[in-house]
Amino acid sequence: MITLEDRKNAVLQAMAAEDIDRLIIASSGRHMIDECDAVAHIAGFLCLGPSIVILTSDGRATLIATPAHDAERMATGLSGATCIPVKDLAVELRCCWGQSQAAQRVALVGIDSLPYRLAAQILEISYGATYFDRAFYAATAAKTAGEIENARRAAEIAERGWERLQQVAWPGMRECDLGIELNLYMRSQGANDSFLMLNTGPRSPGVMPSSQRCLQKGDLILSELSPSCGGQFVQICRTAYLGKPGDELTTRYDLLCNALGDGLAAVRPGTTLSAICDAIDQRVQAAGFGEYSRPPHLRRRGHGLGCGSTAPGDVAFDDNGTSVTEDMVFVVHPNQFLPGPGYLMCGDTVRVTASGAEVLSRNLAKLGIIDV
Amino acid sequence: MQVLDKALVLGPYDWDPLLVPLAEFEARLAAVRSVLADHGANALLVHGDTFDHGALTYLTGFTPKLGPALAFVPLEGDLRICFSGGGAMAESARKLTWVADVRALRDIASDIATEMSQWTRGRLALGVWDTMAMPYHVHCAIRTAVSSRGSTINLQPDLDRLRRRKSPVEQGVIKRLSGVLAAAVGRFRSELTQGSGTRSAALAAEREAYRLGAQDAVVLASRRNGGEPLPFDNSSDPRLECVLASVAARFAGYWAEAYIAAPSSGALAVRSEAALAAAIAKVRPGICVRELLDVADAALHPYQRNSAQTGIGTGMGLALCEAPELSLENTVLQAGDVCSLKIDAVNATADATGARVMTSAMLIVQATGAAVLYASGP
Repeated sequence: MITLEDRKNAVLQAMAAEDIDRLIIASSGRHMIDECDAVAHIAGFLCLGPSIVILTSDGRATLIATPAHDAERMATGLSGATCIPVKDLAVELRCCWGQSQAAQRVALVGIDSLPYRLAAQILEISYGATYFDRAFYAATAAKTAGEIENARRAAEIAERGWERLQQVAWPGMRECDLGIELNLYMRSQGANDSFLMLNTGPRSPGVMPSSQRCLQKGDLILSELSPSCGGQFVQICRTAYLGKPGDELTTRYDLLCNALGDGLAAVRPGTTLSAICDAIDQRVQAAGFGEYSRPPHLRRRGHGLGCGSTAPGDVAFDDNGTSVTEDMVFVVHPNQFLPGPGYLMCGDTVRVTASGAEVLSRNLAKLGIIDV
Repeated sequence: MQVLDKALVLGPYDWDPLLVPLAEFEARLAAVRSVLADHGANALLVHGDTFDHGALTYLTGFTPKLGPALAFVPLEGDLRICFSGGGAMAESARKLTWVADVRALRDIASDIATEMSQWTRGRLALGVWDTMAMPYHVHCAIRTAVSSRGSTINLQPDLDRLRRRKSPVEQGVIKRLSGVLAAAVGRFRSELTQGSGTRSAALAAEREAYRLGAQDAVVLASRRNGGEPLPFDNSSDPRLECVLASVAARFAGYWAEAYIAAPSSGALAVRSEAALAAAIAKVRPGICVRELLDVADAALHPYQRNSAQTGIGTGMGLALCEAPELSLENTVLQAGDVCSLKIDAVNATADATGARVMTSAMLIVQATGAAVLYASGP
């Protein structure tokens, strides 16, 4: 498994290939499950505010982060890196830019995510700089050993969250209150954040953020439990039923569980994302529900997990042929709408190993039955 | 207070007309449209996203949960909100706002282009109400969409002035919120007193806030005795002798915060409380931040304010930091301002457990002085 130093070296090689002398790697300080955070990715630091890492071709890394009072937290996993807490990022960058850098070739990563006034200032300071996002992330798709360990811990927390959901969900409670309880619980277990989509109803068109709707007997509870540890998100997709499920629901859910198994079995180094998607689709199509496996009913069958990098991207039938490689981590989820019960959730996070895949959950998705 | 924003908020965000009635939004919309007319704008585009949406919430009540959202506001007629997340979420998205027309955002540039065609056939003057944090790619998409048809007018300064003066409805919500905040702080203190680690105490405080109806709650706390209040990055749960903390809660869209030291005793704490009280006693419309700092410093003597603290706090409302800008010494308070006044005091000669104290108060600036909603005394 790689380290942050290995990742930095991969970026340096990519820089050398393009004759880049200096790379400005930026983060807005917002950390999302499905968006890349370039500073978290290169330095292993979750910044509170807009921040940058300046990486020079000789391997020196400087983290300049806001706000200034975050000095105590500021740390990178890069040996020899300098950390500078500042109040004003653009002012500090202007100070340290200097005329000697005028002749250097400069590139940028993550600028589009910055507040636009700050982005404009950095673009002005680094006049002539080119965008380097694609090369940056292409060189660094594998998770580090630390990120994988965080992912394993987060997966364990996600499963405990799922157990908790089945213990506390009850008719009369609001969706948002159930979501709050699960969020607090997963954080009490060690998660630093959680992206939890949870909604309920007898038949839903899809999963969505919680509302104030009250749970009722006969509801399906759709949940996307996505805690993060150290900034590394994982995701498990689960469905529970409040009451005794009928045969149609049970049969439909078994179909998705089997499709999940097919998808996970397809994961190995060299497999394309479209092939993983296809493995799931075949099972669903064979059952006669192929129509529901395409837009507008379905967008993707899985995705990468931030907050650093979201490689390999979406597990989708129309992907550009991206192949998975060792130590990529992503979620495979056959979640979809099926006639009868409506939208159902079923998915688990996987790490690509040298010869196949490690599923991070101890127990794969199974229909939860809450006896009310 | 700067926090590690949550990836997805979970609390009760459905629009409650009992808390913020439709008439309140209609009055706001009328005032906004008056500003548009003054600037010759055909329409207004309001941007908000998961982390930053004060303007959008002010006008529509909507809280974006999964990415950017845009409100399109013509000079006359119905508003439209486009949200991130897909059409299947439209039903739940509609519950968040009084606006009837709520639909999924397809693409920022193309959705703006579609709206523009309905506003005017001639050159378009599009007012934009964003925040300081609008991402660069969103800004570029807006400019690209408008460039062929006209130009944008940055109306943020003029429209933010409307947000600054809190209406009676807003003040009522913030008063209720202050009770939630007080309960959360009380819970945090009692947990620490009973021997809990800071992380456990923080989670208990957040749970208490949610129990009382908060939409969101955030606690930052020291990692070492007397250390800076910081987010909890991991599962570490230290038991400390001296904790500095900031506690924030959100209710009906509005934020309140408190800075505390636990325990809060000793000469430095007494002086800090006196400094805060002196500043509060001076609050009235027309007073500037420099004058508040002067009386605070005098009452704090022989101790000093932390050199890292600029100004005396922050304005609060639909964002954790908004007008009035209390970090600037020449800012003048106005009636209707809602503020969090903060004293961050240090004793240069003390050890870590007694070297620093934080204290704060939430207040509304009224004609006769400050109406204190919450003060973080011991």
